[in-house]
Amino acid sequence: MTESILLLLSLGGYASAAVLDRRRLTRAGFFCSLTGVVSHIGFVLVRYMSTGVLPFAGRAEALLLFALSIQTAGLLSCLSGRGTAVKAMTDILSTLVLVIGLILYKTGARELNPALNSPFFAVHILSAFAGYGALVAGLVASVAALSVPEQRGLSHRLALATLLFLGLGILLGAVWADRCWGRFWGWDPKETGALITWTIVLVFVHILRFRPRPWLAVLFFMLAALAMLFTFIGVNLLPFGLHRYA
Amino acid sequence: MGHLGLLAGVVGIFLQQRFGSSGAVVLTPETGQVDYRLSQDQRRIEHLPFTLNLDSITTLKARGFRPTAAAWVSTGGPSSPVYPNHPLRLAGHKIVFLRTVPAGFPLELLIRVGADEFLLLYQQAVYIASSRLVSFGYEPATQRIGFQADREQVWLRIGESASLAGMSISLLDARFASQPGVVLLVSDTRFTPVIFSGFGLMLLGIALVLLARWRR
Repeated sequence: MTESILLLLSLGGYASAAVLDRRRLTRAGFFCSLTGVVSHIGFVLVRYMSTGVLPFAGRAEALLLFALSIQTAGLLSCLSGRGTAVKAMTDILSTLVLVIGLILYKTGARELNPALNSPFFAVHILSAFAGYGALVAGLVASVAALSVPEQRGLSHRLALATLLFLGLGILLGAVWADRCWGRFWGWDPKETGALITWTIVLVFVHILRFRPRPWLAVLFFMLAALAMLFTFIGVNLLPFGLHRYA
Repeated sequence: MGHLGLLAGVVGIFLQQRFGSSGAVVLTPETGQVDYRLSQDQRRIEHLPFTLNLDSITTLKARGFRPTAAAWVSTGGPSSPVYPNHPLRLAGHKIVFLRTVPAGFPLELLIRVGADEFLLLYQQAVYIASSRLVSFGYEPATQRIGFQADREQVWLRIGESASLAGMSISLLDARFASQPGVVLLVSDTRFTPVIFSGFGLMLLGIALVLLARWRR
């Protein structure tokens, strides 16, 4: 019951922010976003206390986390004072992702694979999703930069943030795999997809010194976002892989 | 710093691929002290600088997770548990829990190929001329063992013979586990710190660049 209330509060916060901030950022929109994020984190903690595991393992749970990461990335961009055009879009995107996650979400508890019983479960997934959120915000910022040149700097910073957090997620996953399976890399579809996403962003970050045209940033972010979508959703359509959602 | 870290990580991976090794050890109560592993790539016996003995198998339960087996392993001293996410480190090696094996798991196979006899572990390969002969499967109910060479397969019971990839092969004898056991992976850990610290350094470099740009 508490979990459902917190999720609904979160949805209300994200959706209200999307409505309030659709033309220009408002103080009320900011606080709605903040309420949504805090409620969402509250849901994660309550779920953890009631089931003993963090709600990151299933497809719907991953979508909920994705919504949180997009909303947080938009909020942080806004807090930095540069993400005015970004937050309006991340509000809408996070609301949509949250709605899809809620449609698929099942409240019943289930027992997870004992291989997931590790502190790396939390840090690996949170890092990777922080990278996903930064990537989505970066894509939005790069599109915004086509008409608002001031947003270019933000898209570049978000590319670096993607590189950092996704890279951290990959590295922590490798350390975990080494402890759990005795090997740090196995060319699993999700590992490979994450590495491709990270490499695309890495190439983009390196061409920044040549001052690329804004459309090139959009192109790179689009490519990285497609690779991320494959990594996040596409791998579940494959009949093999260690990272398929149960 | 980022590029230096990336370079160190890549060098670590190269060293691990070139000089690192890992192999599986099957332990059951009847295998006693084992001082060898079956290498993962070549399927050959490699000797270890220590012995492993399975003392017992227990079940661990954690809230929110399915129960898992834990192997209590002694390496000449007191018994230590090895279970998922809880490896044992010893003499530059990491011992990781892979899975349990039921009673009926084949431990040793005595085969004759042509005029030569070979005493092999299950899944150990033997190289004859240009062929790689390896056992790949077993059926506990019928006590049949599957052998493969040059993409040809044959299933044999004890005492049976067949032709496989132009060779005459006979399964003379086989020893099956009478009690459940575990499969452990024994890996070389010399180069993994280089890999992880290298890539960690790379990420630190990225973090510093990000911090500097965000402040600007």
